[in-house]
Amino acid sequence: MQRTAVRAVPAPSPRWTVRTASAVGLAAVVVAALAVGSVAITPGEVVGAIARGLQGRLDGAMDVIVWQVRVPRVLLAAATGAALALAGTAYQAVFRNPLADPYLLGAASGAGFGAALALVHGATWAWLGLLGVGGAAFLVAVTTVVVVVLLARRRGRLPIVSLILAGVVLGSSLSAATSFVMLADRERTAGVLAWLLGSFAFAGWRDVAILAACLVPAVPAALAARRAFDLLLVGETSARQLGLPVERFKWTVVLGATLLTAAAVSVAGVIGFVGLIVPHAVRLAVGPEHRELVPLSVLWGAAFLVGADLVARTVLSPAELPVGIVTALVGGPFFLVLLRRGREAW
Amino acid sequence: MSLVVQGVGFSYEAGPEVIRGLDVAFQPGELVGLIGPNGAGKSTLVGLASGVLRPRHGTVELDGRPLRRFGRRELARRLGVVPQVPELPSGFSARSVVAMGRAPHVGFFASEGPQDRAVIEASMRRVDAWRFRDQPVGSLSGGERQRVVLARALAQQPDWLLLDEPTAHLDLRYQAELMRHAARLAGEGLGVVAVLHDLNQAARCDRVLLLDRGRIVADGTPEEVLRAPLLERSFGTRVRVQPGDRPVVTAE
Repeated sequence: MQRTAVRAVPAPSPRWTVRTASAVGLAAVVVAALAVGSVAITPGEVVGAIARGLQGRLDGAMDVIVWQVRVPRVLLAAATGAALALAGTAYQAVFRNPLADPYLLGAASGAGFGAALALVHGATWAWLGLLGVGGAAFLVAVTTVVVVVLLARRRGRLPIVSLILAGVVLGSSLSAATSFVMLADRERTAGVLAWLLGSFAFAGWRDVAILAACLVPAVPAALAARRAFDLLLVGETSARQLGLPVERFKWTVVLGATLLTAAAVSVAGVIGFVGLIVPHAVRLAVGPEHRELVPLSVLWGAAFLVGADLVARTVLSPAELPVGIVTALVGGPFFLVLLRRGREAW
Repeated sequence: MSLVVQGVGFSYEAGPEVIRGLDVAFQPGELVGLIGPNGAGKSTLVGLASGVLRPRHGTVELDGRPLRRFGRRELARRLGVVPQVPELPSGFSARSVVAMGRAPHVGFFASEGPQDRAVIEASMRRVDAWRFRDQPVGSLSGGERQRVVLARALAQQPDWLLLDEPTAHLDLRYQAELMRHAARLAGEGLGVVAVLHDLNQAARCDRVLLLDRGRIVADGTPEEVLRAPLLERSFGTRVRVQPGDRPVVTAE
């Protein structure tokens, strides 16, 4: 009957199979992304160049391409994918809403507005120039979410519905403001638009370092909190009765996920879909328990964005597509297939 | 050990008071049935007694200490709740849901040990839920889900168990079984308070409280409380009671 048909709970050994397969898959995509490009490089040469780069002695043009261009680009794509997927997982747990994504509370529209201001007025307003595009994006993104949280707060609590409403409203206003900034200076419109759609074309080691500094504490923290994330899924009242200080946990998660999202957006632009679909894809594959969801979202998010970036820079080579377009075009149908095949996860 | 509600008044937001000047003390080893018409404040009382609702006036005290002085985890080790409509994430296995009951003991950042696993298994076996431990809760029947949630509360190893209409989704056999479980737990020294819609289930309790418009209008043995005049006044309908050790109530 129906009841036995749904019976599919991962036992311990398949769990490690999935984890190992995911890690191997990520490694394979990374190697492919390092080898493929306008200059083809064999995997052996890639490994050699990385080994020499780690020792600080680059040898020839090939080494420079790998070490200064491809490695930071691939690492940044991986870190951004991991960060967005992790933030998405956290937001979906807190909001208990399948449509929640890292941009729900206005981080993306805030970052977009900050970046647009910096791109258009950076040369004339000294403080904006000092912040740089990434800095301005980060600052406005975090400020936006803080304002949303303060607007939504009721007697020290964070009601989910008012949070979502405040996020949507403030986000729309900021998107309108971004459009206004763009229209006011048409010469720079294309630049702003390209930033808004996201790209790793200008990735450098500094960007990698910034995002890694956020990910290194965030991933273990999220892994450690897996039980608390699970508890949120039984509803806030029951979670409290099971001992979780719900409000404090929600504040912490929203803050942490927002910082992570803002950092990712500030170095890579607004890349959509990753934070929404990767956690769902993992859920459809292994179920909703965070013990699996957190580590696999990180791995799959990284692999997905490295792959998407590979497509973005090769499909129209030598021209490049904004990676945000690829994630939406590839991610959407992929997700629909999963949805049709998978079992009910929410 | 005692759970004492003293002069408690409560209202939701700016609404009218749903609990008014309520005094009641619960004792360990006692199975208490909480009955009353819709809107009498039964579920609200469960919320107040479990510390998720804060009284506007008065206090709720556990062993002489107000509930608000307890940390969430500390309270969850003392007091387990089976909610009226449990929300269960459908992809979780039955065992994973019961394991949530260990959270207040293990903490949110640690893994369960052999002791925790033993408690989880014992709690599930106790309510006959161990055999479907690996099934996703979304595929279970209403009664099976109810038992999973009861097992989760048992896994908390609490001194007090608050059940909000625990028999609502159960068929005849499991209704009786759940009440037997509740009575046995009370016999082992737990304080059990159950909101009951079915007055004939209340007849199985050691003590029955009749709640009406936020006040306790009767408090005593089933024989004392399940009497036609009292019930008719609160429920606003004619009832017939076959008196006895376990009175049988039917609406006319």
